[in-house]
Amino acid sequence: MRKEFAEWAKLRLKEQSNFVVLLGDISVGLFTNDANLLPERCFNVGILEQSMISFAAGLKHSGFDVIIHTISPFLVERAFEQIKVDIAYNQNNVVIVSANAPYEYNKLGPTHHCSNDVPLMLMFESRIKVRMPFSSKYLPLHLEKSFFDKKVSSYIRLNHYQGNLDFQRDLIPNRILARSDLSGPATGNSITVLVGESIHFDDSAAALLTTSHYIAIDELPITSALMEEISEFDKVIVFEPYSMPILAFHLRSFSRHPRVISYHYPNSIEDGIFYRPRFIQNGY
Amino acid sequence: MDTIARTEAAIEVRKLILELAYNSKEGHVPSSFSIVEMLISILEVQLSLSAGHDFQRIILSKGHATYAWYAVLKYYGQLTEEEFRSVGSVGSKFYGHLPFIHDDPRFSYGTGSLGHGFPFAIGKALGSALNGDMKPHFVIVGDGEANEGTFWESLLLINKFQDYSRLNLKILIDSNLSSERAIPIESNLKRLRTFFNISYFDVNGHDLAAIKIAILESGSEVCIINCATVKGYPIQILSHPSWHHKLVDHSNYAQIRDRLDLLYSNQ
Repeated sequence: MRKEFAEWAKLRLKEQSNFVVLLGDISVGLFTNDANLLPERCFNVGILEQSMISFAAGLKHSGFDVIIHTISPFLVERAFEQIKVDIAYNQNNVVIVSANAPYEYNKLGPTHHCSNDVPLMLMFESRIKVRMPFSSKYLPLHLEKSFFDKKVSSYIRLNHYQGNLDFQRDLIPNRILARSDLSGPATGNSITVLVGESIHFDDSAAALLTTSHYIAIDELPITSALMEEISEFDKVIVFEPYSMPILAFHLRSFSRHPRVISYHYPNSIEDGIFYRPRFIQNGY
Repeated sequence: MDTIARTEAAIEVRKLILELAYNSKEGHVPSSFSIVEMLISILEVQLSLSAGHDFQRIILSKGHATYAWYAVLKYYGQLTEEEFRSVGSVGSKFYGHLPFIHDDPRFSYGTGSLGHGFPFAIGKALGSALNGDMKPHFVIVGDGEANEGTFWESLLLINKFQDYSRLNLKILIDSNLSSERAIPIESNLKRLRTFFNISYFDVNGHDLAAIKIAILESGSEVCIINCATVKGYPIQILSHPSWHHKLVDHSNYAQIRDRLDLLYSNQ
């Protein structure tokens, strides 16, 4: 997805004179031309993530639209206070694009994993929209929407999964669909909730076969109306590709008490080093 | 304004800081006192260069000195009496650090955590330069704040972007030496002159004329003005570390105010 991101950003740099891209010494080769030069207003600011965030906020304050891009743990966890103060609290709305889903640097170990990114960003849910495009096909729309909505910042998590492309052909993001839209019989009043890249995994594909409905979510937080709709099902299976079962927690608080079975990622350090993303189950 | 009048401003602003601290039972009085001349100098320069004050171009990265900010706004008629009285009270939007108030040009940047304002100011200065606006931006940082990694990252950023575009950013360091007992920083700040390709001035941080001259001599370029200050200036007891976040009560309020009056009457 990084290649598609770079192509979109380079075009935007040409078309919009107040557009700036800040790279944390990552994806640089996707932006340089044959002469090894970056486009106008695209800057490689190196490995100073905290200052990069504050600097971006200052550029935004001067009237520029800004994208910040580097590896997720350094962008989110290392520079979290800068995101909190300079972007969220000061309402300098920028677009933060992390280069990787939680375990895409899997063999580099836990310092390069970041399953906490989405929960951390959702701490500012009124100021930062979280976007998890399912695949490259959905990325340009998320980038466009991020800059169209001037009232909030956006955090976009790129990933490299291609996954079940047949499934994606029928996908309408953020809408409840009956599973019969795909194939096979409906089974009871149940729903599989697939957030972000979880649509690509075998675990979620297996769960999908057991429920009558499904929804693929690529933007958080979801509206309370949608949360209500989901809670109306008797059984809800939720796959959340980050370290806390946030949607599942909210669903369990509804008075209707749907039966919620949730899956989320473990926090890297607790389970040591592992080489592929996996879900752990939480729920009755 | 002549010298005596400008000194009167400095004394009156300090009285306002004291009053704020006494009324609100909050505030970092000595830290606020030590930046008064720096703030007044910046505002004087802005007046001399253009039509009026522009608080949006001044970033107080040393956010706990915010009572100096409120006091200066009040002195120059930019804060109402009602707003002044509300500082620190329950439900007020004005509190003990620089507040987050959206769409208010008097408070275009809020902070309380050190190390944020400097890189933010660089972004602002670069943005202005890219827009063809070369009027100066100012950032006030504390010498203790220079412990933070982002201070040194910011200097790297300046070095990078000086090649790309002229940056008209004046970095005023409030060097009151209060953090020397933790991480000695003074000698490292003085080495900025040679380590980074940035204009550098050492000035007496309580000499309004000297600060103003340094700002104007730097022209439209980025510069560091290392302001040697005394924490709590000109009140000696305030320089003691115990006064960093001490509440101003009735007796020390009177004591400090009387001392300020005495100092002014001796000008």
